[in-house]
Amino acid sequence: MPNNFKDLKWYSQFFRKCSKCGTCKSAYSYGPPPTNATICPQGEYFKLDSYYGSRSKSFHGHAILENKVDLTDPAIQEDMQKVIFSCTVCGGCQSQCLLDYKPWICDYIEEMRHHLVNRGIGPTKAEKIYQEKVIKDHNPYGETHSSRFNWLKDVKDLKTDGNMVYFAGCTASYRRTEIAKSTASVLSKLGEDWGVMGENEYCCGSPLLRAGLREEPEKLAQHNVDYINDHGFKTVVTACAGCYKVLSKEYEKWWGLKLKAKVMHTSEYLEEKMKKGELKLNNVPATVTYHDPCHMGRHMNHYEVDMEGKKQWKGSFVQIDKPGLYETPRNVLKAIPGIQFKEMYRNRDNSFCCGAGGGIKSSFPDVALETAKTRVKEAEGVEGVQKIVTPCPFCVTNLGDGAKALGSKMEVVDLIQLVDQALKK
Amino acid sequence: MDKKERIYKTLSQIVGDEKWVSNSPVDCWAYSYDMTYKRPQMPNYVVLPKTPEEVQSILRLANAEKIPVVPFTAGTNIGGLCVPEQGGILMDLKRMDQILEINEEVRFAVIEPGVSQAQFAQELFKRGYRFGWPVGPPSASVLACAIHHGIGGMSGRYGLNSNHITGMEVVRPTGEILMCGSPAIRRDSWQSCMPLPRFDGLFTGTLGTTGVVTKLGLFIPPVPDYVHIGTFTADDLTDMEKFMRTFSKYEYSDDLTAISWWLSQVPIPYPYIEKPKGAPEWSGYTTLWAFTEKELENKIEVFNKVIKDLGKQGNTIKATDVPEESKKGRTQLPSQIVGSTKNYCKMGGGGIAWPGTFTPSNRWVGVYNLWKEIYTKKAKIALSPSTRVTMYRGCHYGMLRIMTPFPRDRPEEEANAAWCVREAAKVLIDAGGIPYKPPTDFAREINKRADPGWIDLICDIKDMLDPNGIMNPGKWGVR
Ligand SMILES: Cc1cc2nc3c(=O)[nH]c(=O)nc-3n(C[C@H](O)[C@H](O)[C@H](O)COP(=O)(O)OP(=O)(O)OC[C@H]3O[C@@H](n4cnc5c(N)ncnc54)[C@H](O)[C@@H]3O)c2cc1C
Ligand code: SF4
Ligand code: SF4
Repeated sequence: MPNNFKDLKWYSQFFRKCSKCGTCKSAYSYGPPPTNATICPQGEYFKLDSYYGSRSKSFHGHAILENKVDLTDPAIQEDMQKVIFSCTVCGGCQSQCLLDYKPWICDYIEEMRHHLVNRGIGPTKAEKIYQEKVIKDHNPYGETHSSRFNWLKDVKDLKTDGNMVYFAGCTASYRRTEIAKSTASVLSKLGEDWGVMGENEYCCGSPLLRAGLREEPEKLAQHNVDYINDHGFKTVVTACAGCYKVLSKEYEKWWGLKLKAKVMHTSEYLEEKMKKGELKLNNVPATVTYHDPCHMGRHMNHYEVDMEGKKQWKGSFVQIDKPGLYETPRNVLKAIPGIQFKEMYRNRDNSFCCGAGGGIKSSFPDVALETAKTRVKEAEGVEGVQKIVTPCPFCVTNLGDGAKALGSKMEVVDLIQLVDQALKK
Repeated sequence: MDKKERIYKTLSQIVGDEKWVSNSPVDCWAYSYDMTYKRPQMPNYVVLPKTPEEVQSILRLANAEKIPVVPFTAGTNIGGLCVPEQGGILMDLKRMDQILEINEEVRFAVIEPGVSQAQFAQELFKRGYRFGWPVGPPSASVLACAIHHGIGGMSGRYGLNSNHITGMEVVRPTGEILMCGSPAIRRDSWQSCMPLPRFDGLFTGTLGTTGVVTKLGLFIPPVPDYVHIGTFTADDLTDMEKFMRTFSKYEYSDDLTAISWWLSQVPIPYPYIEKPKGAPEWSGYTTLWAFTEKELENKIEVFNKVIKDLGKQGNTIKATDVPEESKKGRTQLPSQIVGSTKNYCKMGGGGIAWPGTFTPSNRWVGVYNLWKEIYTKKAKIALSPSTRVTMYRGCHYGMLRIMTPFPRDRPEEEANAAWCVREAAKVLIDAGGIPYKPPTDFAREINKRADPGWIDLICDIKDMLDPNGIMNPGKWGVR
């Protein structure tokens, strides 16, 4: 099928505009008061400029395209793989950059991965293992496809039709089944006419896309889109930030695959209910903070780009004309009576990644864990906070691992679990 | 073990972990060029020390092996100053990132090289203090700026950022460590470099060629409670300079700056476009800070009076009213926006260079006219004469610089910009201006015109401090 992926040479028109100013190395804002914080998990771990922010990635783009380093040398291949594949593709750097390179940064990093994969310099060993699992069993966890919906055994009156389909995703299905169960419980409590795809739900493709694969995720996308379209669902909800990004944006962006159903993250669905006065919530006493998943927040920013040069000049970045989902989950969280909400220092566009994304959790577990620990420590620094709430099973997992490694009392919960707890029966 | 392997191993032992050393071309490439047109040159190793002791050991190793060492903090100097001319060890100091002390009683701070403008701004603001923030990137080093006579938002009131230096700890090229200024006598006294001989001068403005500064004491003035930003325009630089000279006599401005029409466009038009007829060629601003309302009123009164008096004499200077938002940008430093080079190279496309200079104000007009000729007439592709002038404390002199954006992906246009910048530097030096943080090509032009005795001294000092010529060789163009 034709696709809309562009090659590295195409992206070079943008990464060449990187001025090497280094603003992407940290998150700074004048305020007043001025605020400064680290933003790049990869750079913070490795410290070398070859790892820091989108600045480093533009250096590597030149190196690759212009043969500035000898990519036939196995040692150099290994080093190149490390600098390109140990980035969480969190987009923290993208949020800081103000040049025309900005809108393309995350896509470009993934294209670099694709470029290297095509030349046998990727994926990483760990990625290769999970990619094979996704291809075989439609999940990256090495579980059998048939066990995907084992969590459903406990769910009463389950259907595979209805107005709405709940796309659970791999992490909630296999590793964070409590999140899947809470989602099912919330949908039922709210009287939704909902169903699941059952055996027909395949991995959304995110773990493959993030690692620079193109054809394999397309097959998954085609399958999921066909099934959802064929079954006449009006809405797809997902409680996973990664699935949300892929279903709502990338199927169409990369392969022109249009879902007839409206894609909603559970937080959007809940906010809609709230606005209609259909969300009656009980008291849940807790002091909490919120962690923005990259895939739901800044990855969902929409960039206005003047490709033809009608407003500014060819290829110029004009503005972010639609921000990602920053307020929606916060609105839902704040609507729960008893919740005392406190913001972490780094939030929204300047949020610090949980450390799990971009294939890092399997390929560079130390980077993933250190990053999670940093984020948990940040939450610990907010007075009185007992829980980190986030609407993503993958963030819950990694932040939870970070809390455990620190021996922290900080609890990490999914937003949907709190809502489930708060919902009147 | 071959030499390369041996050096790598020793560096790893010095910094305690292989993680902080690399000799991989993949890593080294990311240190091989900057935003200017300087051709890429790779170091052979990158090392990230954490302590002055580690810096000492690295320098001793470099002397033993006779390999160059290039100090680096963020590489945003706009002069290719961290691009290794002869390879060697790139010493990235970003792990030395502690603000060691902020002493509010005596009003000084002691910082390490890796402390960024953003980090320092955050900590000083909490306590009501400030620094001469440059319009450079927030990630850039405060120390590297100060020891290289950086300019910031207080240069009208307090002078260059190097005037704020109260003491330093330096590792000499041969590995010995020393203190300069008051901490040389008592380690915790960081009040002033004087009255001792100003040996800090041996390590100031020297582009990393005479040692590695590992601690720096800086005077930190308070943030006054009141501020007014006066804005003004003039039809030409003759009138603008007359106003700036007249008003600066009162020493009321923290910052007194004017910019040509092309620089006031955000971003700078690339390539050159004509200024619309009737638009004043120069606009400017001054930041007037005060501790009381009365003090501020007085400053504003004098500002208005100077404009009025000059107006009566036929000067085209006029006070203007600009939106609050654009005024804010004058005090909101360091700024993500200007630091990101958005204003400077967005339209040009990634590359930026300039001759930034200290020039007597009575030569500004002559040089600016020559620059316009070079940029708009002589250049193959006409470029915007996007020029800035800023009056410093002291004599009537200050910054005269012409920001020159260019597209990184079009070699011919890059060469055109490089030609303009070099020609601009030549006419400027001929006129008595001196480029700051000079790239090698400017340094050569400076040295051609320099007093031979001065060149001899610089060579002697370099030989004395750095007998093996390991420190950032090639910069300053003397050795
Ligand atoms: C858009 C833009 C605007 C700018 N505006 C200004 C401005 O208004 N005013 C201003 O002053 N600057 C300005 N700059 C220049 C620059 O950002 C600052 O001077 C900055 O502070 C330099 O810090 P750095 O960390 O990038 O230094 P680097 O580029 O890493 O180093 C600069 C020099 O210092 C040497 N060096 C670094 N650390 C040490 C050390 N510890 N000991 C000895 N030598 C050392 C290096 O070898 C090099 O020669 C601007 C830059 C940009 C990109
Ligand atoms: S990516 Fe953007 S912010 Fe980072 S160095 Fe390049 S231009 Fe500057
Ligand atoms: S995407 Fe995230 S991890 Fe990768 S370079 Fe940017 S800030 Fe760093």
